[in-house]
Amino acid sequence: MGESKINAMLDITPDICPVTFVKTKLKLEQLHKGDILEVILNGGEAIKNVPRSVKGEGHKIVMMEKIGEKYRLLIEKGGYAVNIKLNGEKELLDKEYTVNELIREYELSPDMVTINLNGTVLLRETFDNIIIKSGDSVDLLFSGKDK
Amino acid sequence: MDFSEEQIIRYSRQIVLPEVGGIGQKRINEGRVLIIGTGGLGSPAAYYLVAAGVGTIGIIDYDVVDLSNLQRQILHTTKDIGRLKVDSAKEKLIALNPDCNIVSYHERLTAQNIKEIINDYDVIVDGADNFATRFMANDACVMANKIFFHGGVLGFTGQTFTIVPGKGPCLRCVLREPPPPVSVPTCSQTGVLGVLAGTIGLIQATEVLKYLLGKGDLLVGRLIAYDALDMRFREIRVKKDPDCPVCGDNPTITGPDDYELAGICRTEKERGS
Ligand SMILES: [Zn+2]
Repeated sequence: MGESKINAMLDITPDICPVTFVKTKLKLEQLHKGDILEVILNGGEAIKNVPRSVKGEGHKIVMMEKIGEKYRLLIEKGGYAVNIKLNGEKELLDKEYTVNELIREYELSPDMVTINLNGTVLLRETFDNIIIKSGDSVDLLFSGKDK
Repeated sequence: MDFSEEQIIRYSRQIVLPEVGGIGQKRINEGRVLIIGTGGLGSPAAYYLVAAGVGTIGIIDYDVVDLSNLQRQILHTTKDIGRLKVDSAKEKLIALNPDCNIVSYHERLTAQNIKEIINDYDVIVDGADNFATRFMANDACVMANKIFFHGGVLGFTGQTFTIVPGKGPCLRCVLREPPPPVSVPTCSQTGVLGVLAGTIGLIQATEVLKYLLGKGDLLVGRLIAYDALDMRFREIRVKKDPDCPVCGDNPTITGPDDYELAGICRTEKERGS
């Protein structure tokens, strides 16, 4: 198979949970979106948990192969994984959106909704300037001003 | 992110959190926090902030460790009785995490030194043992535009909220004046169940970490009133007062000389550490 270009490598075979994932996560933070990280890890706990956690943060496992007792993973760095609470439910966004972009992402029109960000109702004029960050709590309320 | 192997392991349980990561850990490591007092509130707050890796912690306390402190001031132990609280505290904090730079001030916080001391820090934690110091710190923080994490405990109750100058109310908006000395409880009325200081001090520390991380919703404009007997946290909406003498439209307290510090005896401790 045509293997992607590898931008960084990491050997986490000496480590145990949660350091295995922490090192992978720290390495991924240094890369750019689309970059490929090669990780060598052990079977058992590491191969069970690391890929799952990596996916949970919005990255992609491009390849996984077994080499003897060890495993080799290729991870494509995903967009900036943004964890928010949307109307009380956990939601994972692939990047940091402005309020306006988020509204459009849900195929809504900005003048149909009222946005409550971390307990504060936003003025419509600010929708383009405010960026939704990880940890934010967003309530998307229909203001009933449908035209 | 250039963390040492030791740091990666030490902070692994928080770096794994999506809200923290290497970027957040770096922000914590670069944080500069002043804790006023190493008593009931300051002890748990300092201990956990140092554990989390806050890079620089200032501690200011004039007192020495007394046997009666040990019921709640968990940084000090029986063998520390008679030692300076700042020395005893610093020893425990460095033992916990040698990564942290602990700056100790063995002095009282006064109108003369407060401005210069708080200037070196991003945020200030209220662990004061008297109303006068607490109000003076509130005023100085508002004037210096520093975030002040208020906390207080008495009996089975505690209260806390976060003061972000310009964003929400300050302590004077809510309480207006330190109570006159006669109404400040006497020694027999200053009982507190030690764990209360832990609960409130750690809410303050939590707020500090959230602030450093830039995550979540700070306790601004909302005061948490905790009643341990009912085991209830009530949230009280508190508003910025346009007539507030410090942060209002026409402030009358504008400099350190305006603090009224006389009149409160130090033995008349209240809602404090
Ligand atoms: Zn005020």
